[in-house]
Amino acid sequence: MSERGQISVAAVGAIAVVLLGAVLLGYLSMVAAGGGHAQRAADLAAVAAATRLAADPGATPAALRELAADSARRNGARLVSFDLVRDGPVPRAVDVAVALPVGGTVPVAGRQSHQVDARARAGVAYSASLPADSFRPIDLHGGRGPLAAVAAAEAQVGWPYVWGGESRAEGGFDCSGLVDYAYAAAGDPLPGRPTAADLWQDARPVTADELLPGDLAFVGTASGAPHHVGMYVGGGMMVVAPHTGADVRFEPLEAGGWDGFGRLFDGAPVAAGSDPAVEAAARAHQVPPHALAAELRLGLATDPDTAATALAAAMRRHPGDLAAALGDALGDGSAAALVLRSASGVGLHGFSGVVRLLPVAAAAVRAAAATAAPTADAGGPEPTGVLESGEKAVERGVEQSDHLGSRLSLQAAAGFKNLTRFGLTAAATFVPDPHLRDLSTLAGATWDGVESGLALTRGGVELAGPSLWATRLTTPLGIGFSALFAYQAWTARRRDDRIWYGAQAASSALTAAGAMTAGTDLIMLGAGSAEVPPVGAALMLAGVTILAAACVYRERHWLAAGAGRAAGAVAGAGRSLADALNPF
Amino acid sequence: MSERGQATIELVVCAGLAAIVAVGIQAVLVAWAAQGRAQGIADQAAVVVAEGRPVPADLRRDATIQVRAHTLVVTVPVRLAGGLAHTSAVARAALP
Repeated sequence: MSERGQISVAAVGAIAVVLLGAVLLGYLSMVAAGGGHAQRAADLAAVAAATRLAADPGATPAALRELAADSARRNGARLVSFDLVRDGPVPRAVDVAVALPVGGTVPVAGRQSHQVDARARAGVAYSASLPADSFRPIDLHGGRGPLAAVAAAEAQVGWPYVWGGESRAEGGFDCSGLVDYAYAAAGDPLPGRPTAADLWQDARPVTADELLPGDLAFVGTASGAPHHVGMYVGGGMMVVAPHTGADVRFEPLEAGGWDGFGRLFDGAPVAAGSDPAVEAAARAHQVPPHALAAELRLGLATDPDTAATALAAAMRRHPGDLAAALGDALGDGSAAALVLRSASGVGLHGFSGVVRLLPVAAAAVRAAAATAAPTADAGGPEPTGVLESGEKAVERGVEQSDHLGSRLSLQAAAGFKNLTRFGLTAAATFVPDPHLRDLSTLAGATWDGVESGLALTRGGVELAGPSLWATRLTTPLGIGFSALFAYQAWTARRRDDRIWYGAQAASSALTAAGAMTAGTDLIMLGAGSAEVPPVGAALMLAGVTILAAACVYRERHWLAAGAGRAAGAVAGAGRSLADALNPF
Repeated sequence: MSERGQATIELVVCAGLAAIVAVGIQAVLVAWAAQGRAQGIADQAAVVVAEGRPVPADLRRDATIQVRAHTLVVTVPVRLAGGLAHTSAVARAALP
């Protein structure tokens, strides 16, 4: 071929390389943009569901899934999976996976469509604080009358006695203030602000044997104006605000020196009965039964006595602060918030949930879902340790947000890697120096060999995105080149050429055969991914090993000369260094 | 016309065409980059807004971020041809 003809071939080849590079770049940028959009859709879907979960921890997974699906759809994606992650009975996070169809026109290749997957996890940290301007609210479930008054009074166990006290502003109760508050909370407010003497006047006298929950017991009735009052709660126990320096507490009926008894309201009790085991544990350990019942109801505790012991110890460490005591006893602020919410009902205004995105790793998500589900089914209180505390969740959420932009950088790095490998192929084809061409081929073969070897150890390789399309392009070319190299080996006159072309034919055939083990997904353009099994990876590894060996064989003299020159240069440098360091 | 004059005219025309092509390519690249930036800001801002947090100042530095109903709209101004023309890149995200 003339020199001009060679230049023409080189020019056409260069243009082809540029076009192929443009195709790859176009495809990569399309996938990269799709990746960003898909992640955004996944993030927002997770946040949408988690926001509902924060407002309503009892929301059903179906309702949350619907919200996530709607959010994903409005951002152009499709919800693929949804998991509600629980830490014991406490809903902690939602995991979503979405798929976003990516379409675009790539230069030369034309219209392309692809599916980009993304996952996201949004965590929820709950918090609750009791109202600052009132005593502990309690969910009476619509109950009224004496039994509801008993529940309202029992909920205040632990509050300090304050003489004349009847409001939160005064810091506590006195004995008649507790009774007044309890009946008002139960929907039966007493007239005025009655003292113990007023209550004695208003009550219908009963005997000790006739006492029912909600009845009152008095001290000092002989004078006609008793100076102390308590509320009978059943089971031979009273709840009282005893005296200055003591807290509202349970006391045995016989220990109080009561000398008169009275009933404010007649008629059947209008409230659901409480759990006797919970009541007994609460009275034994001086803790508010409504909080204890909520712990058991939510599945955060199974044994009332054990839970009451822990809560009592925590209340001693946090006097007057039930929210802090619950957090201490349960070891988890979110669980404590849910207990307060369940125990307090609508009277609790300070309940809220904070939603933050959390770092997500596919394996971790799977593991979390796998470990969380059995725990939730068992209803036990054992924490899985999957998620951190609320503060940690916030920090990690900020990190996640900061890292959002770097995902594209990672995809760009993957694209750079693909382009580097492509550059080796281009160099092996178009570099004028035949030795450097073979060196580029050797480098490319080594690269492919390492990747194939790694794929073999991983049990195969999943082709997706650029790697799938590169394989789709190179496999038919490999078959064609295999035949061409075989012909060249057959017609070659020199032994070295026969070995070189034969090795290339075998390498191309083995690599193509390895890729073809991926099956029909390789040729179905609609498939977003293809799986090369271990046998395919082994065939590819064999192919590139043969090619690398052939490169070394063909360039053995050049490589040996180069190694000799390098060794000489190193020896010379060593001698120079020794001379420089030698003072003599 | 002399051969030299003909060559001069061809050179001037080619230089002009090259300049126009360069400006066009620059405009396309600037618009492409702005669109990518707008989309990136929308991706980050949408998540921050959905979480109920204020949008960080560095996201607002080069863009206007508005929330209309349940849609977050990011507008990034684009200067073309050295400021001779102006346009904007807009990206949207649907909020929960």
